[in-house]
Amino acid sequence: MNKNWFRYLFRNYRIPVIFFTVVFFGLSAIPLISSDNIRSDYMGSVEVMTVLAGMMTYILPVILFAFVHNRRSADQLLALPLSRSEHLITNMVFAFTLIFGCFLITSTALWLINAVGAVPFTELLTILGQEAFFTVTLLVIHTFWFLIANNTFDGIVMIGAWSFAPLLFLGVLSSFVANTVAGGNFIDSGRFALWLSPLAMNVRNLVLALSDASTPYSWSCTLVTAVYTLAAGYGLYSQFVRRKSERAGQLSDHPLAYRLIINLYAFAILLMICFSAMNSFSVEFLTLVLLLLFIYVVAQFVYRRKIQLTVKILGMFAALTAAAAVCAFAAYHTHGFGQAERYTFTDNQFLKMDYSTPAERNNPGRISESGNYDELYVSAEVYLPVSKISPANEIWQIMEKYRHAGIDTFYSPETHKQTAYLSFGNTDSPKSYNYSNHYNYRLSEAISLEDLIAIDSSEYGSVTIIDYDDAYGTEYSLSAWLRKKGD
Amino acid sequence: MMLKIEHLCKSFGSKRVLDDLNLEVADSSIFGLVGINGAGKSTLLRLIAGVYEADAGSITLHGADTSAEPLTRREIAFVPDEAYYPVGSTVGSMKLLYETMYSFSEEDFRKYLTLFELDEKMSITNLSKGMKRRVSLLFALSVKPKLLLLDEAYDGLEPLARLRFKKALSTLIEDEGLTVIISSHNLRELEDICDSFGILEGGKIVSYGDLLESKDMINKYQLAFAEEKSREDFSELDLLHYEQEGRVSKLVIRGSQEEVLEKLGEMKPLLTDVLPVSFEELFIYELESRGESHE
Repeated sequence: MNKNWFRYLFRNYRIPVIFFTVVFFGLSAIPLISSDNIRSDYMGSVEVMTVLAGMMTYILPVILFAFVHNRRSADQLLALPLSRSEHLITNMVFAFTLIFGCFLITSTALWLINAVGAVPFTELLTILGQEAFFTVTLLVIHTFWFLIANNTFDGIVMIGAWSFAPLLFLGVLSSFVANTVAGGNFIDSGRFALWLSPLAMNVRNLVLALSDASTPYSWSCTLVTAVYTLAAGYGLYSQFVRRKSERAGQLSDHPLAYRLIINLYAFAILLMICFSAMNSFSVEFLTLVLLLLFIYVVAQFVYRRKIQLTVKILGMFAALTAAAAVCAFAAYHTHGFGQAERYTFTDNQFLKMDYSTPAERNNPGRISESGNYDELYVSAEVYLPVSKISPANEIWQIMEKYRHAGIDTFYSPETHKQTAYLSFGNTDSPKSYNYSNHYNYRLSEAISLEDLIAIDSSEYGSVTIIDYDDAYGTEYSLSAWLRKKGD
Repeated sequence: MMLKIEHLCKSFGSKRVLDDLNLEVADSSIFGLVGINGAGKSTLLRLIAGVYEADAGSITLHGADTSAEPLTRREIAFVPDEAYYPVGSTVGSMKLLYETMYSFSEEDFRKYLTLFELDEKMSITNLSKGMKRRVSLLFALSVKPKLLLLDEAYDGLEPLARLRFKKALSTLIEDEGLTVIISSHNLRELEDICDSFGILEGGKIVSYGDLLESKDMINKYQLAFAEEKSREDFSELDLLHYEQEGRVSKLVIRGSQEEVLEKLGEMKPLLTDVLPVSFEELFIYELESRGESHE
């Protein structure tokens, strides 16, 4: 680190530093005004501080490193008597000192003023430690994204694009699951998106894990974030210390910049469109593709800084569209690359099945065409211990029959006016609301009356009927309803 | 030797700008760096200043490598063609940077502030190009450099400011042992001030040395003969430029004037006229002789 440069940064930015510190403290103190629950209020302040600190990890890299993106400022600041390494480290230390310094002062002051009894000192230390980690990792990563560009505008675009990319991934995954995986079940997709976002992982550990007892601290998030930070740190070496300063103001043609981002975003959005089209194709999808082509071309103009429509650009978009269509087609016709068939269970678990449908007045085994809940409403529930699958084979076979019917309905090209609802899941106890392997299906045909009787007769299942013979509906068990009808 | 450049190479993409460039600049001198547009003058200055990094070669200042030892840059002041000043900056606010990072002399700062008719409270971004150039020179001279790099230094300076600057430079060279490298297209201005020069062309320094000595070694000769001559008649001489108008030959020849006149005398001219060349003419004829035409 270079002490002279550090001293210059503090003296040069002293007014903004003072202003930011005051604002940081002021905004962070707002949650304490309510004074309903001291601990909850203090954690509210921590959340505000986290947001402010997070914002600064986006802003400070731009302020401190924009000079390399302009030829004139690069001439002045790279000619200074300090090495590139010193320059980089000093800037980062300054940014960290500013952000963490404000957090440290504010969190400690507010704790001393108001929360000493409600928040243990060890927890304060944990918060500070996590915040230090949060600041370092995001500063390094955001600075790297900013420096892969060659001008300030592109640098800001890169920070935004790479920050948003995990959400894009989440969108693609959601579309994949919703449109190609019958039952809509996938390995915890939220976790994958979380692991792609250093910001989300840090917020999870800093805010959620501290304020929500049901959200445990995630060491995997810490490890993944550390890996990203190390990689970004290495990237900073090449993008700043070894940077060719003549890049200033040139096209941002780094492999991780526009060339990748534009095509990545285009491909992701095309995938979402194509996945949706597999399930229910309409002409609107062609309109969406054309709109995306327009946006793609505009993005290329922004990247290349000239209006140029070439065969290469159009060809690349066509290739991406074809690739997305092939992926979507393969996904749909392999039942979500086999995810629809990934129904597993382990010993000591219960297989749960839930069923419901509006049914015809005199036939619970037939879906009501009107779809109105003014005739019968049939619901069934099964809790089958895994260890009882063999002895309760009849029930098991019924469950499997309708599970496969649900899968067939999903992949059927026919549209159905009315459908019944069926869900399957694994649970550890009948009273638990936590499910794994949770599949939700629609059935084009209701569970037959015969099968409903078998379920209701079994010790593991029950069927309930709400008869809307009167205005409010009367609830019956299946057997009681059948007796009533027999009368 | 103050500044030594050895086997310096620099490319921008596939374009080789500096190709095995070698140069030595003596202490307490003013070196004029000239060349055609795009020759690499600004690139060379930025390499010396540490803004660019060379692909190969070394630049040493009193034996210290300027890229490996950044502290050597405390002794280098670089004034680019277009200086950078953040929006809203004043002379006083920019002073903070130089005070903190260099061996800043408050006394010199005050002296040059007066000399260049500047004020600490002046908002730099509102100044004209010439006034901004004065601000750049103010800070460059206030950090007590040993090596001053000026890229298009005179652009925008009006004659009085130029004169004051030249005087300031002369004083610094005499009193502080300052070495200056100036790049400019205004060769008439450089001729007044430079001791030595270098012509940059094809990525190399193709001609360099003491300016007066070089000018002495190149002269214009105008000769009238009884019969018309051709270029081949002067093949024994180092001919930089040849023009024939009837029986009158206009030549630019490199070589000692005495020796050249002796050889020309053997051809029995009816009339001989010798004229000195200016720095600008020296530059043009040197490049012309290498096949470059700058009409």
